[in-house]
Amino acid sequence: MVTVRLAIFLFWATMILAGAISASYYAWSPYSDEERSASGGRSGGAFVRGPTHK
Amino acid sequence: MTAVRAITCPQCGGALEVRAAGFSVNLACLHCGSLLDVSRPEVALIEAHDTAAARFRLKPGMRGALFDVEWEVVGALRRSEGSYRWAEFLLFNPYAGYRWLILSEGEWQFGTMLLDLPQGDDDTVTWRGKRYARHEEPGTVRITAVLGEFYWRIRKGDEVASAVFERGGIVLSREGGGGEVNWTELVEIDVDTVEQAFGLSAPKPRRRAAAQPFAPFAATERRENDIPMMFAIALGALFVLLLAMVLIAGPVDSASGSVNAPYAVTREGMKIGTISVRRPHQFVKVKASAEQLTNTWVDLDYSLVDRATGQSIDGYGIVEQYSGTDSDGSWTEGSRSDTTVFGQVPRGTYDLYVDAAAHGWPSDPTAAELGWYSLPTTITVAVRAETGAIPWGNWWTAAFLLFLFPSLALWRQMRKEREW
Amino acid sequence: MLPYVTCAYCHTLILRNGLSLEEVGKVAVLPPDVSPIQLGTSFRIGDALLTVIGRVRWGWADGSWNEWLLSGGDGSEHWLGEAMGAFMLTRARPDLLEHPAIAPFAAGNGDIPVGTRIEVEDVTLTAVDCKDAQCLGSEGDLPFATLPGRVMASIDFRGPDSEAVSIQRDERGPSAWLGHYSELAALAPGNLRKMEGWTIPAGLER
Repeated sequence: MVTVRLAIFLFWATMILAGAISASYYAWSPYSDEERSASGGRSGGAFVRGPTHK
Repeated sequence: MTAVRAITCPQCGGALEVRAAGFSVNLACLHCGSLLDVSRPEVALIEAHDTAAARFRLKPGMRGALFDVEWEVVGALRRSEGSYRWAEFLLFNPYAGYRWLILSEGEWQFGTMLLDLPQGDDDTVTWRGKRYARHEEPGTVRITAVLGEFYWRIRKGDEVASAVFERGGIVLSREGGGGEVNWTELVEIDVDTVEQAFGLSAPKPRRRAAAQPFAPFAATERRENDIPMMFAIALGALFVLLLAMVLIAGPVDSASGSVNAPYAVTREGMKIGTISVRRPHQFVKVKASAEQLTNTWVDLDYSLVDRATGQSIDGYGIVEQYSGTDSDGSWTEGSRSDTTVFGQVPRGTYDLYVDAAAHGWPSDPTAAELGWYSLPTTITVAVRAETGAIPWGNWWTAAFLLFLFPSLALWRQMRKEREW
Repeated sequence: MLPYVTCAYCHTLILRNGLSLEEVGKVAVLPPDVSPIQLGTSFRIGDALLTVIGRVRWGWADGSWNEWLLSGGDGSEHWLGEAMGAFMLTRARPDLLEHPAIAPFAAGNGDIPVGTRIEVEDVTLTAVDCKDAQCLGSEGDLPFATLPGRVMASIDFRGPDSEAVSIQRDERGPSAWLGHYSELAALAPGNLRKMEGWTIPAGLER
């Protein structure tokens, strides 16, 4: 017996699977790095890095 | 003659009443949950607890008339079989003995212990001339919480073998194995009947009540628990997704080389190699790693230049390593390697160029330092580019979303159970 | 006339010896219970009217139970066991002690493990309960002394149709009892004990 909740979950899982597979096909990912992150501040035209250690 | 025996909990000092004096053996304190032996004139502590007593839909001391007999709730149990959970209430009337009320997922059953025992095997039994067929596989039932008094030795964690037989809305439940076997006849009893009898305020309306006015043996049927199924589906979907992602990622082409990054200045346009994207779109992963790196970071700017069009796709990376000593001792920070992923790289042949600059921390070394000390004048960074990369971030996101649903369902179910 | 009687006021156990009375000792005060039975409660079983004349309370490791002595007026001894809100009405069947599965236990050696099956009058009964019990107190007229410390071994057998066999062994020797498990209503009771806070269900008393 398939409960309503299970049916909704199956739909949800199908959507995620379809989304992830098409993302793979178009080689799309929200995690691909395009821009240099702002975590290292720009100072005088160059990124200044260094330990965050306190 | 008063029918109640007043006692004091030796653990928490709370006032308690033994409602079935002379029959009750164990009592789980309504105040602190401690398990007491009330079978003798002197009350003895069996197992001390100091947690608040479990909450149940019916509380010991409540009275209600069912089937024209007034019953007093004397004990309450929470039990589980696998992931399935329900509550059982022991009812007592000195003139009628004991009965059970079972609450499972909002459905109630009324149980009577049988004096005439069904005969048969594990598949079918005969009782009062009628055959009952086994419903579901036999299992092991565990007690997860107790409250109130019981006529037998009881303890949280007790386990008993259980099997359920049914015929036309009547359920025979068999518990125990070996010598001591108890049979209970269970009949469906209307929610409203129980709630009116015990003066319960009606809980939130249940949507199921309308859709399913009569569920023959809802309780013992162990109503379809879909949560394990959902977890299994989520796991299976993740595995399928992994296979699909590996297949789609497509042919792998790689190139590697290295750059020597000077301090303070940027060395530009060093070519690492050539890679080909052979599918309409692929991920390209560029991994940089430096073996020798101390209190230094290296900025890496990548350009993937399409040979056919001259168009460039840019990205960046950084390798860094710092160390020092403070009041907590020595520390190190940073990563000697870094992976950059380029998404949606169209089909084509690409040259990878790198601009690299090394910087010292807290400041760039002076020319003199570079000359006099053993500091290398440049930092060597190995760079490897690869097409057909797998976007692990996508996979983990899918994993989170897939497990979110059954996890929420499980959390809701557990919260609902606590309300019983 | 039964030999022993417990004084309801001073809990002294008295032995009737002809016309003389002999003080045997003090019995334990009966712990409070919510039994619906009391001395004087009667039951109609078929044509017979059985009246409760005495009670012994037994305790074992996991609880306690009542045994009510019933008199039918014809000298026959019936016992009504009361435990877990259910009842077991039995009468003596000394011949059962010669049953091969029971004889060794009756002779004082050997146990009967739970699960042992016996055939009695074409009915198969299974041992469901084996326990050592200790006398916790008594009231009314009784055929034996019920001083604290009296012990017995008791084995209950159950049949498919509520049949009951009980074998007991104590210092007086073994005894065997045959009867049925039943609910109170099936015993057509009269003169039940009234309990504060409870009403006797309509139609329960005959």
